Amino acid sequence: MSLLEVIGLRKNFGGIQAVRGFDIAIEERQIVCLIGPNGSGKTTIFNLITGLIPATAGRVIIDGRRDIIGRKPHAITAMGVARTFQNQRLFNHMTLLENVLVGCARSAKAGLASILLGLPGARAEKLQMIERARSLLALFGERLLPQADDLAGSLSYANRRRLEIARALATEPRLLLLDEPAAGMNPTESRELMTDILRVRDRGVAILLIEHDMTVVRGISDRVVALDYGVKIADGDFAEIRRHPKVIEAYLGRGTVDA
Amino acid sequence: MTERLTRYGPFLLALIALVAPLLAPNDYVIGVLARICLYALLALGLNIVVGFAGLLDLGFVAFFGIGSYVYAFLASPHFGLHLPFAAVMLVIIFTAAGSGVLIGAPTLRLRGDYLAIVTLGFGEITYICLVNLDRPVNITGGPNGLLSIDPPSFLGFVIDHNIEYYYLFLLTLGLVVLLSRRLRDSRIGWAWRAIREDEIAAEAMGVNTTMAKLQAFAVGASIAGFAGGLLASWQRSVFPDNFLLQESINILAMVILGGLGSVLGAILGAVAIVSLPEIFRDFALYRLLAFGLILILVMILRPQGLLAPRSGARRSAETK
Repeated sequence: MSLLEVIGLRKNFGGIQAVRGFDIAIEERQIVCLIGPNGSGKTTIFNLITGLIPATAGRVIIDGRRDIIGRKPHAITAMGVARTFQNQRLFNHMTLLENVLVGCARSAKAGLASILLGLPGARAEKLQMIERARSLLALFGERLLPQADDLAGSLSYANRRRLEIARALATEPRLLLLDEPAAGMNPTESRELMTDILRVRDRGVAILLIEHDMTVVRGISDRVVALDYGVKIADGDFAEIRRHPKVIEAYLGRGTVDA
Repeated sequence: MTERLTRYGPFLLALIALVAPLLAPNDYVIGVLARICLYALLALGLNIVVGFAGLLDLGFVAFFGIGSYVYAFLASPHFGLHLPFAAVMLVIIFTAAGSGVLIGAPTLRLRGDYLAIVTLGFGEITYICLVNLDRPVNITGGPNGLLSIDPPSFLGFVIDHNIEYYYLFLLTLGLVVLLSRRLRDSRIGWAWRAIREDEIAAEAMGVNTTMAKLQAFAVGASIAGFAGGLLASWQRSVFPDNFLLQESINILAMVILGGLGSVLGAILGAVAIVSLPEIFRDFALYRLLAFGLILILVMILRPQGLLAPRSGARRSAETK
């Protein structure tokens, strides 16, 4: 049984068919890369899976039984699907720690009354959340933790990407969707990102990522899925994909697959 | 220097607030001080809605009005009810919270300017109801308002001097400051601020935005309602004109002037906006002109408000 199964997912924006019957299955602890030219519908698929936009048709099933289509984004997050955003949507005027705490709070139980009264239960829960948030920042070594109390808006580009991952992990996902995590990173940072992603996988999280950097794609993916005009054109390991005639034609261009 | 100011500022302010009425030259000044406390309460309530959750509410004074009238209904000869002060205030908290949810629910999908316009409408509707609900059955007393309202009393001790009201309001204010800070640094406060920063990202991080927004409306409204109850008990009468649009704008100005999202800032904003027109009373006709000029100057010189919300470094030290 797959962790996530997408069947016949479609999305029309007016007359434009952005996603035209997309299927994918992701297993536990698998790293799957979604590649495709700009406008091929990758981010739309992310938005559909996480419930940010309604699907025209299709099903998205978690654990082989729960269809999450039509549910609200926060309910989908509660079922173990978290994401980062291509254009980075951090809470800029909150500290790094608070950014992660927003995700941690998903499973918090303290109600309004116990918070207002400052009951011991609410206090203890808050301390636990802070502890957990700090340990998530610590996942990235010395990159984030020393700046835990700075505003997220003050972070460098690469660190913003790292914080987005830490924040998503705070919701305790079993599947993490990363939208171009290496975009704008230099080669050293990309290499570091790859080990970070593998470490996240080792925590028991499956990962679906959109990525253009072929070094990253080759370095970490168990499987690669190629997309063009909202349709899946190939699905296999990196070696298969790079030789696939349709992929070469649609995405990489003839004779340039040396990456 | 600023470090010390942020650490000892609140205590200094509390100390000043405690001794201020003792140094006041006359009862009128004590009355102004009491009004500052009342408006600081309103500013703190609106600060939760606008400052924390980023929901621009231009009809906030409606909850102030609802609180006042509920007090008048339950503790005046109008309906012949004279419930104890504490009981009335308890009813007000829940009525106001309920009306906050009622007004909040239809606006959940709206953002920014649109939300502002709808809440503006709610504020006006409330005012019009207060003015017109004297016929066919006299509920609100219409434009003449409701009179002979009971003063607050605790175990037989009746409050009837400005200075006593002042300390009652100050006590409430201190309590609301405490609650505001607890909320700000709780999972609810994080969710509110996440919504203010980026609603879509907040949802993707598992924040139930519907719930969080309704909580913000409810908490903000109950604080305003409570302040309304205090006003009714102090004025011993309520009139629809206590709750004009101008008041909503004034409260919003306090929150913005103080620094959106800053608890201490909201209080300073209330101090400035209530006291400046009093200070400029000697200028007679030019009073509001001077007041307006000062507001413009402050916003040019400190666009983030008098006190920008505290930087994280200190806040985290405090959450540990």
